[in-house]
Amino acid sequence: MKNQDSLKMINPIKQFFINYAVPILFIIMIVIAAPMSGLSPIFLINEVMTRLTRNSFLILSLLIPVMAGMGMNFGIVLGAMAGQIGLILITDWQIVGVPGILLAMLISTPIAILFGYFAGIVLNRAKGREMVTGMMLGYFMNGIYQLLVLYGMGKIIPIRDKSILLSRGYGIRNAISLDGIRQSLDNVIKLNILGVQIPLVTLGVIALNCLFIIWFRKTKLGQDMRTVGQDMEVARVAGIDVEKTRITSIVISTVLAAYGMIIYLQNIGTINTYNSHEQIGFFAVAALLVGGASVSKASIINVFIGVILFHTVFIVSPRAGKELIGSAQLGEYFRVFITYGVIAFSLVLYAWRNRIEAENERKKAMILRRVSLQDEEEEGDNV
Amino acid sequence: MKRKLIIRGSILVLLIILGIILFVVGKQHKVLIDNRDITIDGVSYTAAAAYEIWVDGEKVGRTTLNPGRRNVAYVVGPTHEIVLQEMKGGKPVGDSIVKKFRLSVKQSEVIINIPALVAGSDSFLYQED
Repeated sequence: MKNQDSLKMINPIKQFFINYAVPILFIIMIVIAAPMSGLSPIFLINEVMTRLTRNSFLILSLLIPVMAGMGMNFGIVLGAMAGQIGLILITDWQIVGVPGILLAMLISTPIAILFGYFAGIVLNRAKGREMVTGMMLGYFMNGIYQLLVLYGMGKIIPIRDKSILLSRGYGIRNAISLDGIRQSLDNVIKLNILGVQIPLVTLGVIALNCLFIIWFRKTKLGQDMRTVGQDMEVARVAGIDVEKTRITSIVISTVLAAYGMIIYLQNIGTINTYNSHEQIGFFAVAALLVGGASVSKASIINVFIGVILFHTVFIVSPRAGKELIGSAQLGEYFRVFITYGVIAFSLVLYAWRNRIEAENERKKAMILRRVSLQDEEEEGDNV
Repeated sequence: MKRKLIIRGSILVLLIILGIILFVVGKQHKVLIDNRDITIDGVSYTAAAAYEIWVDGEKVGRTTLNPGRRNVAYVVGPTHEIVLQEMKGGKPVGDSIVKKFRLSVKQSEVIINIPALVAGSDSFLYQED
């Protein structure tokens, strides 16, 4: 009996700290850095709200591949590229406002489906190494994207707006102003509650995406994805087309990432043609991991906790750094350091947690074995 | 199989139609508003008065558009309305003139000539070669 009690009580506190080490670390950082930054609470809440509406959709696109057991989809960069192509084209055609955003989404959809399908096929050939393959795929596709944008646009794809072309007559400029659609979605309905600006329509779009994910989990395809995520062999035996299901999850993720990138860039109001998409994968993954997600488990709650914690640290750290060390440049260094650091730390923690869980399983099995042996002995004594 | 193909084809057609609608509805046009002398088809129109101008309810420029001057407005979509109010010594003179006009998606940049519009010419709106 004593052994059974000890079985139930395998370090729950330790387990909690292991599970939520990254969010706890970030909360501690915020508690220390926020007062040091000297930023007013209203300013801080406004900034967090801006970043919440800017980034959430993009990070939500990471959830479906996690469900299918494909880890963090660094391939969302492909979706981001598709979104940017849509935005470049509507800028050239001078389509503005909400219709411009919708048209950019419409244009980016087939491109994202194509990219996602290609990524899915590649990732199917690299089972078990999806994350690093997705990352490399992002770099590879970046080359193709640059070829298209730097040489194809203006030469093969007609671009009439000279202001977005390089002076040589072809290739898109390094930075494009999105004046026509800047914050168009955010400004449709904007509430001001106690000085905090709340873009209702953007939040509504994010809420719709959340509802889509919740609904999708309950569909046949969603259930298939979960089964594939838990055990590919079991799924195959159950008659699920594992490869097709995995490709579908990446296609959905890439399309959502394209939409997410459009929402992200309409908020910022400028495209950095050759750089905007590059860091998106890392920042989105890092935010999700900060929210308490792991490579094998991620939920909608993780997305919002992640965005709030990750970006609050981003907002307060430059000012806190300046107050502490006297250098504002520390902020930019800190951003990159934190992003890559969080990903590395989370991956190490994930591997360590797996090892601990395996160890716990072994301990449990040993205790159960000991209990059953004791019971047998007691029964033998009674006889 | 055939039913599936028809459904997919219909969705594709609907999306293309949606794309065209969004293109037309969201198209931005640059409208240059000239209060300058002009000759159209052998008829001369002379800029003599200053005007306050509104396009789609938005005032164009901060001050009145004096003779010989040009201003610019950006409009979105196919149908628009321009309202002119003649000004003299900072005060409005007479009734305002209201004119509706349509722009096609090919007309990214057009010119509206005020003297021609006030005189009732149908050629008040044109594209520069």
